Amino acid sequence: MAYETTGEATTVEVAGGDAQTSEGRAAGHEALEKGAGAELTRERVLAVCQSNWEYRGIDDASMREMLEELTTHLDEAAAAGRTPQDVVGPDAKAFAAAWARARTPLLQRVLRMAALIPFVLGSLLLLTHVFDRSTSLAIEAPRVAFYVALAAAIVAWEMRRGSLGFRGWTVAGLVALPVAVITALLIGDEPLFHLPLWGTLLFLAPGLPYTVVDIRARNNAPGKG
Amino acid sequence: MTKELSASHDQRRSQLLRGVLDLCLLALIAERPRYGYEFVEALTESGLDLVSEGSIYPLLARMERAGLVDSYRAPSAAGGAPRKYYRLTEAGAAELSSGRTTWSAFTGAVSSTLGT
Repeated sequence: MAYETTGEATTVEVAGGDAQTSEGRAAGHEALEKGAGAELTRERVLAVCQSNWEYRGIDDASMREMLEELTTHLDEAAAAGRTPQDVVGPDAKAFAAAWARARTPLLQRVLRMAALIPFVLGSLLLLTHVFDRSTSLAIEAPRVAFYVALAAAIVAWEMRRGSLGFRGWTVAGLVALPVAVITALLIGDEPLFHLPLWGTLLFLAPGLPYTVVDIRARNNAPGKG
Repeated sequence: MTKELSASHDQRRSQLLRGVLDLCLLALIAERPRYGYEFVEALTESGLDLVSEGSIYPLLARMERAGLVDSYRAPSAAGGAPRKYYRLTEAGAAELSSGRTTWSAFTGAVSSTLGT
């Protein structure tokens, strides 16, 4: 593996000469075939890194900057006849993880995720308030099971494939629906409790500052406006 | 047997560079501000091939967090999209100077021990 990361330390592998470099790269290709089972294209590397950084709590502005830097490097390497694997090594996820750890301390990333996960949940609940035209939501076990299964499937898909897309959403929905049905059959669909609107707004509160910063960064990004 | 020796040689070079890659990057930035791909080109020209070129980015990120380097965006002489250039800070210059002293003392001691 090209990256060994322990805590804050990141180590790298280097090659001694042309012959060794070829061997190292050949070994990397072999590892990739055994591991991910797919060729590392430029697009796949970028998608894998983006999803990895999203789940590791890298903020939008930093992520955009890192993606631009990586894209430029991949393009220049390609022009010099080198492959994406020569740039990121045989394991794109390990590369992305090492960069994320170096870029933002764990505590900052954990705090961000701890704020944004309830924000996403709160947004879904707020939409349900709007659709139901109600200030109080009945929370039933099948609904909880559906969202939990949907979130798990989406995270698993993105971590594995790099990007979600229509196919990913379809698969996640197909996983979540039976989970909700089975939960309804096993537990029933009686309300577990009623969630008032202020409860939903409480879910949104911690993630709001992060969201505002992300939106501002997006609007101020180069090439925008 | 030759292949094993070659692998062992490669591994030793890898381990040696691990310990000083950050200093190499600082030294390259001290010459002039550079962007990511330029580091790889300069290292390759010096005979220091990285198996994974991108491994410089976690190091650069860590050095930027530590205040040893800072960055700015500017168009590249080669054209295309603006690049993220890294430049040395005062703390980075001090770290490089200290690193050079340590390296000289270390290589001197190793050379003396190895009898080279």
